[in-house]
Formats: sequence, C-alpha cells, structure tokens
Amino acid sequence: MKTTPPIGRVVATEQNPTTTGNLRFWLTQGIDLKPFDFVRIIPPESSSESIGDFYAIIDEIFQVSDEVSPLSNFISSDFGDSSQKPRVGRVVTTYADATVLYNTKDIEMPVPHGARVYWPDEHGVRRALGIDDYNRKTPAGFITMSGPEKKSITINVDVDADYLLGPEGAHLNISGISGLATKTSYAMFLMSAIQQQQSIDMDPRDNRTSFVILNVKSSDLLHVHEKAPDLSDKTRSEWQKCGLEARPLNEVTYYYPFSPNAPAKAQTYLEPSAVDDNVNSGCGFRYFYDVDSFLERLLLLFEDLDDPNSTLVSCAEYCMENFGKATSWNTLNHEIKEWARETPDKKIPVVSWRRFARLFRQRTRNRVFTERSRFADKYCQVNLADRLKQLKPGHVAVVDIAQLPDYLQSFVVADIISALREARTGEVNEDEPDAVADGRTFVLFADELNKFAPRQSGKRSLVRYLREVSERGRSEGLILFGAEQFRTSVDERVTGNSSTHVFGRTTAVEAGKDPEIRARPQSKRVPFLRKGELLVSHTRFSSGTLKLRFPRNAYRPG
Amino acid sequence: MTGILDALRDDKFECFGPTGVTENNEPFSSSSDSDSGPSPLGFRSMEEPCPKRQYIHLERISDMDPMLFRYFLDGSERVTDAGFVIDPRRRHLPLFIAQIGVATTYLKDGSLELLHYDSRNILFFPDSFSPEDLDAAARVACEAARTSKLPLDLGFERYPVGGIDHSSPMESARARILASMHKLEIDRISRLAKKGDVTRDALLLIDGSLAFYGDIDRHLKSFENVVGVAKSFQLYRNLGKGKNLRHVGTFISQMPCEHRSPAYCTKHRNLNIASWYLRLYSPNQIASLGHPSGVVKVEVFPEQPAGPSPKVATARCERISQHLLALRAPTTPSTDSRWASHLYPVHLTERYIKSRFRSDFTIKACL
Repeated sequence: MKTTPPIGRVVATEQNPTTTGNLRFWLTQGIDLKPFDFVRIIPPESSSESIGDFYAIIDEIFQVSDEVSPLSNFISSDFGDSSQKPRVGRVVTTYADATVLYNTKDIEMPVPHGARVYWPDEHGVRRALGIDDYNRKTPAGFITMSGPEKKSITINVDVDADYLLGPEGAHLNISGISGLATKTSYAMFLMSAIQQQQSIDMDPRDNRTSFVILNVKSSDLLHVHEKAPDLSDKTRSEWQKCGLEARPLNEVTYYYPFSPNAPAKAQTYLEPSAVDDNVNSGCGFRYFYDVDSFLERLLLLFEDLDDPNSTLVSCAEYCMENFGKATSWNTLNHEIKEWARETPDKKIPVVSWRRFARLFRQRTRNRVFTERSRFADKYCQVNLADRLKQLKPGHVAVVDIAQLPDYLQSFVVADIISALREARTGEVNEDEPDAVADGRTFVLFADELNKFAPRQSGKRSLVRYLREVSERGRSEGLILFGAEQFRTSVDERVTGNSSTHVFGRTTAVEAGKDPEIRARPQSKRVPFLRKGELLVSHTRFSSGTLKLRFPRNAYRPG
Repeated sequence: MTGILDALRDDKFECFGPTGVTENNEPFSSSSDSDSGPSPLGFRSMEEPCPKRQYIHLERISDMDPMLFRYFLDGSERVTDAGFVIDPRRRHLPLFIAQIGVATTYLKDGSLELLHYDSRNILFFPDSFSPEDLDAAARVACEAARTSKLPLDLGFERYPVGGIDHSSPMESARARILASMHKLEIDRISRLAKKGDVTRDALLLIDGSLAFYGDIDRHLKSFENVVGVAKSFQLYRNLGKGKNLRHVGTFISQMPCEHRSPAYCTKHRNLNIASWYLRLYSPNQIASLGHPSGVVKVEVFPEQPAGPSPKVATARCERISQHLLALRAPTTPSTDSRWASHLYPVHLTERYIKSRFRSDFTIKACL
C-alpha cells in the first residue's frame, strides 16, 4: 500500500487543528470518496517517531475555491455572462472531515499535519470497528466503500450478540418512513442471521433464542418460511458476503386469531387455502381467548381509554375476583349486564358499571373471544400464551394481529409479553422447571411500535409493559426489536434503552426533532438515505454509526 | 547548537537581535511588480502599421482559440529582520534573511500546473568587513543555520554599505535582495528558452516590468517570447508628443474597457521595449474601482531591441492584448486589492511561492 501514492494529506490549521478524534484532509484530484467511507492514515515521511497508523471514517466532504462570494464570481464571469468559458480553471480543492476510530499502536495523539491518507485495507477496517473483538458475532449487513481505481470495497459487518440479545446490552430500534426505510426487512434479516448463526455456532449460549413476530399489517410476515420466488444471484451473493445462506426462516409457526364464521376460521389477510395448508401441515394455529385466559388480561382491554377515577379498573378487578375458571362467555356477559342495572358492590356506582358494560360489550364482540370449540383439535384452536411459553429455542412464532382492531392488537401484544416473561421466569412453567436455568431468550419483533407505546401515554398499561421489557428485558431474556416510522412518536423509555439503533430514511423535520439522530455527525444525511441504506448505531461500534446495506429478504413477501 | 547571531558574536562580530516582532514583519513593503524601476521617461510610437486611434478596441478571441500564454513566472521574497551587526567603523547595520522563490507554472487544459520552483534563503550581510571576516561570517552563519533545531539551508550575500551619509543600508539591502530574485528569475527564463518550450505560440508571461532585469541585454534571446505585465505603473510619466503630450494617468483615465493604447517605445539601457496599456476592467463597471485599477502595462521586446528604429507588429500587440483580456476571468479573489489588474494564473503562481515560505517565527528560531 505504501508504494501507491496517497489519496490525500492531513492538514492541521490554526482554525481547524487535528484532535485525537477528528481530522481534516484534502483529496488528490480524481479521487472519489463518500461519507462513511474509511481511510487509513500513515504519519508523514518526516515523522521521526512511529506513532502507528490511524483509521478514520469520513463524516462530510467539502469543496472550496478561492472565490470570495457569489458577487465576486458574478464579476469574474464578465459581469454575469453565464456563457463565458474561463480560460483558466479556478483553484478548487476537495477536503473531508473524518473521525478517528483506531490507532494501530493504541496511541491517542492528534493525527499529525501532513500525514498521508490511503485507501483502507479490509482487515484494518474490521480492527478499527472492533468487530474482531466480539465474543459472539451476528451478521448485520455490509459496508460498500470507495476503493482504488473507482472499485468499491465491501466489508461484512457484525454486531456483538452480547449487546444485541443480552446479557451486556439488548434491544433494537428501527425508525424510518414507510416504504423507503426497509425497517421490517432489516429486522427480518437480523432475525434470520441470528437463527442461522445459532444453528452453526457450538456455543450453548448462542442456541437459546426464540422469536415472536407480530404481523401488524396485511399478510406481510405470513410467508416468512417460504422461499422468495425471484431471488437473484446478486441477492444470494450479498447473503454470502454476510456469511449467511439466502434462505427463509426455519421452524416457523403461525398463529391466526380465531373466528368461527370466517372462511378460514381466522381473522387474517392470508388466503383461506394458505391458512388451511399451514394448519394442516402443523405450522398454523388459531388462537382464541376463553373467559379464563381473558380475565387474566382483562385490564388490558381498556388500557387505551381515559380512566381518571379508575372506575373501569375497579369494575375489571371486581370481575376478575368474582368469576372462576369455568365461567362461560354467556355467563360473564349476562352478569355484567345485570350489574349495569344494579351494582353488586356499593363501592362502584351503577353509572360506572353501565360504562364498563357498554365498553365490555363493544370490545369483546370480536370472535376471538369465544369458548373452546367442539372441533378445537380440527381447527387447531389454541391458547396463545400457553403455546408461546412452550416455544423452543431457534423457533419462530408469527402472531397475526393485522385484522384485529387497535385495542385488541394492544390486548394481544400485552398477552404475548406477559406470556414470554412468565415463560422466562418459570412462574407457570411447571412442566419445565429448568426454564430459568436454561437462560433462553425471546426476541419480540413489534412493527408500528408507536401504536403500542405512544409517547406521552405513560399511564397506559401496555406502555408500562413495554417499558419494563425495555428496562429489564435484558436480564429477563426478553428482547424487543421495535420498528416505527417516527421515533419521536414512541415513548422515550421504550426506545432509549436500545443498545442498537437503526435509522432509515426519514423526513428532515423528524431528523431535526429526534435527539438520537441530531447527536450524530452524519445526521444531515438521514433524510437522503436511499432505499436499503441504513444508519446503524451499535454500542460496540467504535465509529458509533455506520451506513450499512443488507441483502433482500429471502422469504416470500406478503 | 548555536544561533546565527551567537555564532557571529563568537566569531568577534558585534551584533544584536531584532528589535522585536511587529504586526508587519516584512521590513520592505513596496512592490516589485510595478514599473517604478529604473526605466527612463519618454515615449515614442513604435507600432507598424501605426494605429490611427489612441484607444484601440480589442475583439474577443474565440473559445476555440488555443491560449497564447502557456507559461507564467513570478518571483517573490519574504524578508525577516535578522538583527544588527556593528562594523569596524562602528556603524549599526541591519542583517536580513531573505527567502526568495521563483515559480513557473504551465497552463494545460484550463488548469495550472507547477513546472518549476526555485528558491534560496540568503543572509544579507553588510560588506564593510574585511574579506576574511566576511568569509568567517558566511561559514559560521551557514553552519549554525544548517544545524539549528529547524534546519535552514542558508546562503550568504553581502550588501554594499556606502559612507555614513549615503543611501540607507535598508535600501542597499533591498536592492541586493531584488537583484538576487531577478537573477533567479532570469536563470529560469533562460533555461525555459533554451529548452525550446517557450515559443511565439506558447508565450511566457512574467509578473512585472521587463525593465527590472538589470543585465537583460545578456539574455535578450531568452526574452524573445516573454511578455511582462505590470499591475502598477507611474501615472505622472509623460506620454505622446507635442499637442498629444499628457500624463499616463490622464490618458488611462479616459481609456474604455477592452481597449488598449498603441505601443510606445521605452528605453532601457541600450535597449528598446515596446509597452502599451490595456484596460481589463473599468470604473464604469464598478464604481468603487479607481481609474488606474483595471489597467495593466504590457511590455515586449521588439524584433531588434538594440536597433536604431525598432518596430513591433500591430498584429502581435493585438494578439497579446486579446489573450491577456481573455485571462481576466476568473478574477483573483476580491480580497486582493489589486484584483482588477491582477491575472489569475499570476496570482496562483505568486500564491504558491508564498505558501512555500517559512514563517518569520521559524526563521527567527534559527537566530
């Protein structure tokens, strides 16, 4: 490398000195760089002592000429003659600001003036990013950066699984506008990477992650076990670049909300035949709530409503205390109707019972609230919480909530979270007393997180659930992969605890509002990210933020 | 490691440090690129055929016309006050270290490339010492500079010191410094000419008047395809004859933009130089522009500069003027007060030299 000419030289001026963290260099003519590229910097020839080589990441690139102002350029162009072709080109130079990531001798001194800037080597970049020091690696995509002779260099990038799935750090948050930010695709890619990685890694700690995926819109995530029909060679090679195989998720089970009158006996956007196929092949189930399982989560049914005097809570608690396991929906509905006429408890006024009864009737009208059918086995009718508690390591459960109204989506999500937490702590896991000891981890992927944990709604019980997951999930083995269009619309405590933040393209207003984006030197680029480009900020990245690309998903899109 | 002054002191010279750092560290501030040099007064028209108008309009050249000016040469100096020395006659005489640089650039495809850079660092020492003392001073000073913390490749030259009532030592030293710079320039011009790069279709443009070069008659051949362009010139010099006699300042104040004067003859030693004025920008375009701004004085040698009646072809003057006019864009940055008369390639050449000079502080570190 040292025999090839440098692509630039570091310049330390009075106004812009180099520091231990930042530097500026000018570029040789004809060299093309872009933000997020890496460079290797070797001290100048005159340097007497060896202070090692530096690796740096480009923050921004500028071009400057000796033109003082637009007015002087106007004059210079023969007083505004735009057709004038100057016989001498004005002196311009391109320079870049960069952040120092690494020094090969671990010396923390400013990069010397006159240091030579070279194209980087792949090994050096990986060392600079600290990737080689990770205990457990999870492929996270690849960097495509500029290289010599206009050829690009591709480097696969891993995240540290100890910081993505615990125990050191946890949670992933992805934000970006719809369509261009590829939020869901990236989350699915990461889950596929984790699944593939744990199938080849011999470390028992790696073989412990199960996945629960919420399908919140159309049939987006209802084919994740099926191969994409149009997988190109380019996509396959990109998967290979990441050390992975281009394949859909394995060991997938789908859970559709039961509906006895619907053609597929399920409330789903999936074609009835596809539902039947999945059910018949043993990878599809229809979940329902009988009174028993419902009463456990009854409070969640009204969690989106204002209840300043806690009257709804009082009514719900009264119901939970006074109905046993064998109660039918008919009985429950009848009793509540009666209590709306004459309160059973003098502490709760009849007016409150009337409101409770009206809301209860409205919100339990959905056919997911039903008894266990006589044909339960045929319909594969299951209790969702029970099934999720038994989810095996490496297996994937896709819970379809797309057709459910918002309040029921929240109800189901809260039910899932409770079930996963119970499974991990072994509260009701009598059959598997080793559940805690085996240290398994659940990844819960929730798209449209803003719907479940909106900002400034901290009193809502689902928000409290999600906060607990975000704050204590790391130690409880419950990892939240959340995605939303606008981070600023999601509760700060839910997003703030993520050790990995991913930013897809977003609006300039959002980029300006979100402190997580604003705090990064590359924040101005976020509104201009292209489809499939993401800024990934992982606790273990020495650069803080990287612009990554990742392969197209290998499953059939919905 | 000994400083230059200490080394001289140790070698019996009585000398002192500089008077201190001031805002303007350059002991000499006057420009060397004007025509205020030794050229005598008096003009006579020497164009053939003789133009009928006193202000000649210039047609613009086509974009396709290859550029006539390909080479640009400029010299510059930075002088650092290096202290004082007491001579045997007890005179308090200044010492200077001059950094002299001469750069040659080449215009290729609209971009300027550096062709050559010649430089010297010279300690100017008064010549009022014995030859032995001067030899000793040269030896110790150059050795001290070479072994200093910030090593300096230093040369040694003497400047003449007249009687105590004659011209100031400053002026004498300045003349010597400029002479050294012009020598470096002439050396480079000669080498370019010898190599055959500079031709009638690839002219060399130098910044300043041709009349500055003292021994130019010995290098006349090298200057055949050289054009001198002076940004400033004497406004009170007479121009024309008889009823057309007037000051240069008066003449150019009425000169329209993109016009030139006829070429007149200027005597320089035993040579004749053809010179004319060319207006690049006019106060009509920018009110803040003073009337001498935007005008350059162009100088070339006629076919037989030493002959009795030298002539210069009108077509040659015309072509040179047109190509100079084409060089007015882009302008030099407006932060340079001479921007309206300054040509961008010359500005860049000069800027290159200045960027190569070491700061006064690092020079003084050798003292």
